[in-house]
Amino acid sequence: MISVFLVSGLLPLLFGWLWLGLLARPRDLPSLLLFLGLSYGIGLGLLSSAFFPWMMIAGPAAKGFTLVVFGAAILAVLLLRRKYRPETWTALPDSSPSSGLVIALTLVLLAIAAALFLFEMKRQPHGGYDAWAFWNMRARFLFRAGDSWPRSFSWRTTHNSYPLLLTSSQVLAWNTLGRESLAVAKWIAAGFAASTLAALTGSLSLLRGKSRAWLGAGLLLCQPFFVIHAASLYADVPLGFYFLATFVLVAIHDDCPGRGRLWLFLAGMSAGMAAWTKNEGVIFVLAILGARVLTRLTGRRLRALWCEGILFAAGLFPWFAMNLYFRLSLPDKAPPIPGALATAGLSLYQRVTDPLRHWIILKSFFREILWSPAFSYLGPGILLLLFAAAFWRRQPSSWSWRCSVFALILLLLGYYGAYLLSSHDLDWQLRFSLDRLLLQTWPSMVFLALLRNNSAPQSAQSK
Amino acid sequence: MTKIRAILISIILVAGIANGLKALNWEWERRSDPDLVGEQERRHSPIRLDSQLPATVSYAGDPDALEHGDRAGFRLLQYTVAPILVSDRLDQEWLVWRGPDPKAGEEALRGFTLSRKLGDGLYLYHRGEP
Repeated sequence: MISVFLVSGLLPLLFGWLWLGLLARPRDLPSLLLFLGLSYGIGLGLLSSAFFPWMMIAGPAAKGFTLVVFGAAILAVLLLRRKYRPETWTALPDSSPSSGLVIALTLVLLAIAAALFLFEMKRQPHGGYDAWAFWNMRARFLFRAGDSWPRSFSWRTTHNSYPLLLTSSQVLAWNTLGRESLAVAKWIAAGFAASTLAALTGSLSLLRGKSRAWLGAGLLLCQPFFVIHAASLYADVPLGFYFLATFVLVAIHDDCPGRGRLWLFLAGMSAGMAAWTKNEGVIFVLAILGARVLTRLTGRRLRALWCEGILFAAGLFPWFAMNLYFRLSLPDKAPPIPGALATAGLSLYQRVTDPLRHWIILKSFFREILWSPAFSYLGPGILLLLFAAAFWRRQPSSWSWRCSVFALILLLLGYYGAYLLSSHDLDWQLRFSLDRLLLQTWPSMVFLALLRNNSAPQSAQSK
Repeated sequence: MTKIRAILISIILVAGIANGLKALNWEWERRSDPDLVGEQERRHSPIRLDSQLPATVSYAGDPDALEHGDRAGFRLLQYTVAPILVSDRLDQEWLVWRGPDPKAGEEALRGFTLSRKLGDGLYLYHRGEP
């Protein structure tokens, strides 16, 4: 058990720490939380992504990956350390102290979340349907199949073109351990849930003060589906982490004009990792790029757009290239299904213009966002409206904040469009996926809701 | 924090706790219900998911079932004996037969010996004489 924790929990954390340590140095507990949260997610994403070319060249069972990659990383970081001066991170001082009641209620929510996570792990040791039917099963295929490993992407397997971040991270951990262990997937799930919470609270401390951080943690855990779903070993919570990390890194960059632009490079990497986790990540990349470009164009800040775009694109590029290579080389295509069967008998035009489809999708979105999604009396929309009622102030929001909210809206519109164009039975697809898709955006919604107004003095910002 | 703001924030967090307790109750009911306890262990028991079955098998079966690529059949195979990769060609040491009880003299089964029944309509064969 300890070796599994070391390989799937501690190794990614250390790997991320190595790289992030070039850019930032936390000075107190809240900023350490942000540092740890980002280190785990980015470290695991980097290791897992580096494993893909290793797998293509030497095969998934080839030994020595961890040693080679860690050795190379330590060498690179030692060389780069002279070039970069890490900035110091400290939590922003609060204008008023955190309310004891808010802290107490948040701690209760935290205790409930921990209990829910353990209960769900116990109830479904192999995770939910998608976990055992393809995420974890593909990892087993890759680990066990020897030279036949490319057959893991046969069209006969389920979702053979799904990206590999989670699957590779499992195979890589098993490869390092020298054996299979179901506990690897569980530690990774726990790692992403904890990293999401840490990155959310830490970033709010850094940008808005500790009282917002407590509120952020409480608000995130108000939807128990977050922890229950994390324990079901699906990819939605990891994907939600990369969405959040991208918004956080963009906000850290935009928060202070003098800040190094490498934060945007890191944001591009995080967006790339989202696309390497699940197909929805590709919609996210388009949404965040679209929002930045459109808002910069309307503001006629083309020079700034170019400087920022280059760095973001540089961070994104390796994952874009890897995704493209993967899709073109490994998953084989299924034989064509007769047209009418493949599209449920509806043409593209019919699907887009059918008012009933729009109504069904809108009704489902409304129910899931505003009213009562899984395991809840009150949905996320109602909670956020209550929060807005409490904190709304007539003061202009920053350009960066408006841009991130626009990206989130574009992402939701992308999901809407995907349902509209889907050739599957619409009712079935909404029933089995909408709650998960909206859960991916929940940590980012909370972050952006709490980021809007700055109640704390703009002083001791980190530098 | 103003009084109204504190009240609204408390309402949000208490609603969150109510949501959490509802979820805990849901989990607890499923723990204590004998029909649901270990549901997953029965459906996808470690024997199926973690057994050391061969990594790659050939796949053959009832011609009717295999028509049109028989995607459903391959999925059934995945879900019941999960960690098995299937090969179109009959070139592997192990073979899985799908369909009704295999009849003696089936062309595809020539040279294979029944190892065991994996599930309804699924049989594992090993190359070689008994």
